[in-house]
Amino acid sequence: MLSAGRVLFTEQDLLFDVRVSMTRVCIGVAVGSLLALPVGFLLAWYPTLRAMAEPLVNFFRALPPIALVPLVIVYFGIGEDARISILVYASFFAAVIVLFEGISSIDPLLVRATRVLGANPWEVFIRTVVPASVPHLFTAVRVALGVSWATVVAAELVAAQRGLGAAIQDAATFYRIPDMYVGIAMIGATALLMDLVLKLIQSRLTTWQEKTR
Amino acid sequence: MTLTAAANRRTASDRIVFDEIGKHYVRAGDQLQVLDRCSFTVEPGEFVSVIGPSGCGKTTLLNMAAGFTAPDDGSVRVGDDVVTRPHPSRGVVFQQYAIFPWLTVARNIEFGLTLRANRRPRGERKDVVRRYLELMGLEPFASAYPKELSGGMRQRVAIARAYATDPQVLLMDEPFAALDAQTRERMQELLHETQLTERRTVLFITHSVEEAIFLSNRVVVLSARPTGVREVVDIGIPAPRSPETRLSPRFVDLRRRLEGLLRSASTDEAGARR
Ligand SMILES: Nc1ncnc2c1ncn2[C@@H]1O[C@H](COP(=O)(O)OP(=O)(O)OP(=O)(O)O)[C@@H](O)[C@H]1O
Ligand SMILES: [Mg+2]
Repeated sequence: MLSAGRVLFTEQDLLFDVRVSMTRVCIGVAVGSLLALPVGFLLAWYPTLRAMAEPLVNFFRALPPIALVPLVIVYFGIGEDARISILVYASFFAAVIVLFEGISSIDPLLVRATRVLGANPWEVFIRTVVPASVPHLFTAVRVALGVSWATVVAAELVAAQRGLGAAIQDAATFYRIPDMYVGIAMIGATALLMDLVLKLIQSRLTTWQEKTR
Repeated sequence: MTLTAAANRRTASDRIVFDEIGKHYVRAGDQLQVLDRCSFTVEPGEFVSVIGPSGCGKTTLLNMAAGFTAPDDGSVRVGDDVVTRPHPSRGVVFQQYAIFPWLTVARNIEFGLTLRANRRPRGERKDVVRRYLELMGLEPFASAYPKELSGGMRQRVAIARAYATDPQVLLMDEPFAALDAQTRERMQELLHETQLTERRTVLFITHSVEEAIFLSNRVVVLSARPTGVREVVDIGIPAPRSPETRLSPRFVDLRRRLEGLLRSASTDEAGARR
């Protein structure tokens, strides 16, 4: 397996596949989370909106993104757009749930305290709701990352030239079992690394947070 | 603003008047009359405590003065205005330390002064923050985050933050209830000293008769539900009060009397329920 790994890294340029997949995941998560952010705030802020939208969100979230691949191919073809749009979809719904659950759990007492100090609604939002949401945003991005890695590989299995999923598919076609294991291990390792980096940034940005150890 | 200017500004405009307050809640289809023609006044610059049986509506009264809850009957007036919504001229200190965990102690105190409603220039803000850090003994913790503070210190931050916007009146709902007995007494002394220098109109809710006597000019004893005012007791112990005050004959007398009033108010309630 070690030799298989060496060959993969040198001759087939596995790192390039890692980079391709990682780029897709990053774009998908970034766009998905960015879209989820305002939606999460709106749903948390307006209970009636939330009551209406929650079943919808749960419906779409329950659909496995992979099941959408054929549909996406019909609309977007088999280009990069198609793969990225699947990732955006997966990230968005994962992030939206985490965000609105988190944001609606913000201590109403802090909102009250902000109001009695003289804050107008905009100030309540920008000075209290937003900072109190930062930890939830990080959680949302991390959950979206996990979902996206699971999705990107499946999407690449179907329709991609490069990327980790394509590399594994390649290895399978030629029955190179050890190569498949290396590919799979790389997915885990890359996902783990990205999560660690994110966690590090999070602990830097939210030193104020009380941790129950 | 100098202290005298602040003192001169305290005119009839910051009298709190509870006028014939009535309030009911509907619970499981039943109507629960909580307050019924409840009236009392807190004079400008006066420190008034409210005590009463558990669940008689003390928090409800304070929430009305803060503008969180509207009465069904009667009105709460502060100065010439009928209270309808929260306003920075009425500061509130909550029982749970409602300070912002993502801000340092200094920034928490400064918070109100950075809002559009009462924004002050930077230099003035720094002065106010320094003054209250000092008054509350929080200087060493100016740049600490709340998670690093004990409960007593967190509540000092909340009190400092309420004072910082220079409100006409302060409303405090059992602010020391979560503290241990020793910290609690120290906080009472600190609040008493603060009141001597700052002279605000304070409405203070507590379960502790001793706390009420130590801090107040007058104590309002509420009856059981439907709640009205049972008695208003003048404390009349001259300031400054010290830990020894708690042992003085007058203090002990008042304690006995208020505890008696409170006990009979509670038994009224038990009797009414039967
Ligand atoms: N939103 C509400 N809906 C229904 N009932 C309520 C509501 N808020 C308060 N009550 C009831 O009104 C009564 C008075 O409540 P309130 O919190 O004002 O009492 P309190 O004197 O502050 O009590 P405590 O001594 O426990 O702090 C209680 O019996 C309470 O159960
Ligand atoms: Mg209460």
